[in-house]
Amino acid sequence: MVPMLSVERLVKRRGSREILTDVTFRAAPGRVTGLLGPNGAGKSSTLRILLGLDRADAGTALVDGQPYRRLRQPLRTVGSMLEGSGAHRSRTARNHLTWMARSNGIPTRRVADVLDQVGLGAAGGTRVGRFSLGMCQRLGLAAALLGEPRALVLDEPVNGLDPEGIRWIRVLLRGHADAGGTVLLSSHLMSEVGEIADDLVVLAHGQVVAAGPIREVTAGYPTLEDAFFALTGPTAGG
Amino acid sequence: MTFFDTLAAEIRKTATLPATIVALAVTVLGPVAITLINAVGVRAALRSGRPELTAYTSPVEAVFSAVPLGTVGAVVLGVVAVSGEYTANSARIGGGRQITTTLTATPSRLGVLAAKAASVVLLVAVAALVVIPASLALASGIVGTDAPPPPDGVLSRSVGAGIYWMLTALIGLAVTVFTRNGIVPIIVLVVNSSLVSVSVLLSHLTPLARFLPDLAGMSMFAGGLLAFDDALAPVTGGLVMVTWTAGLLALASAVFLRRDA
Amino acid sequence: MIRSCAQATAAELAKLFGLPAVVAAVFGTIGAAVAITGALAASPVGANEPVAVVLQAVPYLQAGTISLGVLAAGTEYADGQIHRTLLCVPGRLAVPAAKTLAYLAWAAVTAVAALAVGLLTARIALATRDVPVVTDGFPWKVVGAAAYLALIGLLGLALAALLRAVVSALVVTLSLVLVASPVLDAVTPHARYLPDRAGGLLYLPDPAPVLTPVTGLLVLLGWVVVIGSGAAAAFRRRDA
Repeated sequence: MVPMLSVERLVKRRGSREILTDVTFRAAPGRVTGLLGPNGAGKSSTLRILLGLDRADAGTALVDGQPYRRLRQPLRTVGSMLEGSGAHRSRTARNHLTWMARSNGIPTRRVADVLDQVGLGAAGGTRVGRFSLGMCQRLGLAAALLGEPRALVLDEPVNGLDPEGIRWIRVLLRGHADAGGTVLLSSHLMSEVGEIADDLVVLAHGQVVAAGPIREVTAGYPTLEDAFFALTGPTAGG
Repeated sequence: MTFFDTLAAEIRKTATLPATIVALAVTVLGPVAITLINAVGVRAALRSGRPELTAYTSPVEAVFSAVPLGTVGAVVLGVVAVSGEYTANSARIGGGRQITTTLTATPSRLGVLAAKAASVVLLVAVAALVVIPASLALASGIVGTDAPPPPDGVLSRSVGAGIYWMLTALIGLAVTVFTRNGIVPIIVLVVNSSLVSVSVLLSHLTPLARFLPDLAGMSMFAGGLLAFDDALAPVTGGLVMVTWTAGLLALASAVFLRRDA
Repeated sequence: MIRSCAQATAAELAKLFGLPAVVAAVFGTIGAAVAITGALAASPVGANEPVAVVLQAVPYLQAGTISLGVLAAGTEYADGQIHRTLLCVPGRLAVPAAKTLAYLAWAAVTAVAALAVGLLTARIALATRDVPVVTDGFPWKVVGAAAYLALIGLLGLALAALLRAVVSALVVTLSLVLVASPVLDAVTPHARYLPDRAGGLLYLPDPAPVLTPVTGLLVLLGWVVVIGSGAAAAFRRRDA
């Protein structure tokens, strides 16, 4: 079976510095895959290449067997969230989602649906500049859900969410995976990833230092936190 | 904390903003480049014996006709000194605005505004001290011995142009305190520093237009270049522009004092 | 392909509509048209003929369409919107094409509305001054002025795409068109190849005919194409 999201021997350089070295992993349908690593490990760079924003110097990153840039209506295949809402601050939330829907031929009634789904139903006419960090995060999720995609790619989705929001997203992502969808999320918060993810990919210094089902990765360590520091510490990886 | 600490902080903050560096480059290189082209044009016209081809034949006028480009730089300097405080960071680095940091570091609102104004004036003054003498030297060097004898008052007009830039920068600063966003002040002030200025248009409708800040101030340096009749005398014009600037700054201070950051 | 381009253009149109600054630029341009044609018609230096008055107002009105073009491209680079755009439309050529089409639609409507309102204002203002209104045939020059206004804004759009910032693109475009161009025109005949001078032949008679309206249009388009393809090439190569 073709994995929904696959990253193969990815290399990325910025100037003379190699920020990703031979990064390889897959995210399978029906599972939540957590991309874990300290700040600067290369999590966001990997996701940006997977989503066609940045170019890799070598290797491939495929969505459903194709590069993202080749997808006809990408929002219907993979919903994504990077760096908060990505909406210009003077737009209303509704306008932001409307233009996104137009660009992929998604019926505009989906806009109201997803706003309700993320709990922003009453804030659709508010300018994004007035949103709190948590509301921006919810708007980003609404954008990800807009095209009813099979895969979700989320960069630090729990940032800025309150406890209620964190529980809500946990239920949402679990439900998406249980319905056969694919979820790939990055985080530096171990406790969150430990509670949500089925599979783990641990990145450190631009390399994959461990990957597999969460129980295998943490085997031999008392907690996920111990495993994380052992795998990503200065002596580990490269 | 003294005013000089605040001033030092503001100068550092303003002078290291990328937009300020671009604006300083425009203020310095713009007039020099235009002077160069003007002077070459004047020389060609004089050498070919057809001085009527250009609007003027004096190297001094070649310099002063380039002043509007420096005005654009001064406008940008004054505007970004304030608008930079209110630009929200990109969401990925927290979406914060610098004004919060500034006012927690220096709670005195008037101190901050005064220091901002002083640092803008200082930067424009330095730019003017470099640009105007350099342009005059460049123009007379290019036109050379073909030039007609220099008109009177080159020194006072040079000083006038420098003062005009400083006051324009301060007006830009004051207006941006009201709008908290740089786009509108930049459009309005750049359009108005051009030849199709709305002020010049108004001057055809009412003689009162010569008391507008830009038209009044231009009489400090424009000499015969002004595009309208019965301009104010240089000193009167300068005083009128100073009054406008002081009034706008006072209004801006009042707004800045009362408003939540 | 055509369908996805149409969808991308529909998205860009909705994007422009959602920006308060764009809506303000449109109404600001139309409002300025009323004020400036009114002032010109009332002043002794203004022409005595509605079409001529409106044409005199075009140099002022171009600030409006330039702002529109700069905002259309420059706001992509605030708040990370460009990432969102490329996630929706991954095609690196589809995005600039859709943006250009959407801008042209907005700019054409703005220019036509501003000029029409300006014509009306000039007619009324001249009538109150009891100036006999002369009209001879269809005002083709006004159509040329509308085309010029839309195209000079396209220069702003291209520069904003190249500079990836609203304020610097505004400063560069406005000072090139409004400040540097008239200053240079006073001394060198080569100034006729500047974008606004060349494009201006679409609505102004040329005193020393080197360029015709058609070649002037081509020179203006040349500026837009050179700057625009530089921006498009950088856009394709660069990481978003």
